[in-house]
Amino acid sequence: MKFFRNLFFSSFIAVIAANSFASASDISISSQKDADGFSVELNDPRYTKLKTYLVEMKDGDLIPAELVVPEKTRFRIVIRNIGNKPAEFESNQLRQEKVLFMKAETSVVIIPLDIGTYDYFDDFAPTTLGKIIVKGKE
Amino acid sequence: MGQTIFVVCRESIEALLVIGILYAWMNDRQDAKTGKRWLFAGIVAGFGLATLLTLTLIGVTDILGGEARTWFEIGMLTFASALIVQMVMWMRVHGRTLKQEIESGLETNLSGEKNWWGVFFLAMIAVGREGSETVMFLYGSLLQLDSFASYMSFFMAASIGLALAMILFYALQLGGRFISWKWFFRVTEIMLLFLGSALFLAASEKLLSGPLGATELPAWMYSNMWDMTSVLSDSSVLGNLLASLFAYRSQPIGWDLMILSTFWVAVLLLLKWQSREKNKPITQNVVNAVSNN
Repeated sequence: MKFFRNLFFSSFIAVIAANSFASASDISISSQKDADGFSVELNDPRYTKLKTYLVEMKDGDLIPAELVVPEKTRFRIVIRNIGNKPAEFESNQLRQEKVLFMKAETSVVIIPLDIGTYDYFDDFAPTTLGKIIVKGKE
Repeated sequence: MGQTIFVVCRESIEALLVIGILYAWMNDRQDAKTGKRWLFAGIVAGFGLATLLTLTLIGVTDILGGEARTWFEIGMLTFASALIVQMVMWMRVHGRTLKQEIESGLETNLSGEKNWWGVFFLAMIAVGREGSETVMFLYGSLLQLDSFASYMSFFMAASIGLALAMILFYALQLGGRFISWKWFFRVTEIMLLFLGSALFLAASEKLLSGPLGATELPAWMYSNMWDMTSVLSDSSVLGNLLASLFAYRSQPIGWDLMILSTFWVAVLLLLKWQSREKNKPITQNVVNAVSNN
């Protein structure tokens, strides 16, 4: 009995560890900047046409809380809810509103933006603001 | 707890604004009982719609996947916006003649009955749209609860949130009773039309970044027209509320202005046309009466 319990717990912990490891390796992607100061794109075989970035939502936290993207270029944001509560990716400035249940993933296409700063936030916990910084390509 | 209060209150405000105005407006009608029954039926149907939408959101059922969902949302928002305009026009006709009709006992149920479906659908969409997000949020939060105390505080928070939003509903009822009819109607009419414009804009933005996402539109449509973020950001709690009730945008692009001006021009033309149509028979009657004498 005890053996099974231990087995259950250790596999549970292993799953959690594997999950956090998987997301930890992803998290670093769009938080990193390339040589020109732009956020690093997400390599996803499903989305090859547009520049794609990853934003993860975790109970009100936005990871990363800052994306740097080129001006007047359409791009895609893959949004993942890795928290324990539902989340709503919202931005009036980016014209987006997407509700995500736990573990849900979705993607949105952002229309070409002028140089400037644009906010995004979790509408269910709008205390932290994420920023999209749009800068010239040079 | 604070989060639950906030989400429930904020998500209920839009629905309660619409329902509150319709309810207060019906109070003075002779067929108020019938109307309120339709309104209530709409609210109940709205909860049904909210539950159904939630099921699609949490992946229980897949009737509305990706693209279809976007189109459904666009359709629902546009329909609600059109219903609001139609409702205002209806209220104008019946509001203005209300007193005479009651006095002469000529209240026509016939023209009203057709519009009960409008009341029904408007209440249904108002509750169903924001309701689905609330239901999902509450359901998701509910899954995280583990102790009796946490359940207690959760249900308390949800009730407080709803109670806070209900203050708006009661304010509207009081307004309908104590402010002169004319002023109450004028203010609520403007609020409804602004809400209609906000819904229309939201629909158009979903269209722009959804189905039109891959289409190359003229550059000015994507350009920021002005930036008032430093004055009042539409990401702040107040700014966001103004965005959903009055179509406020702190960084509007050409597309937004084009859509909003289309909406307002269309609405003003409709209202003007309506008041001319409305006055026509009256002037004719007067002319007839005068010539008969």
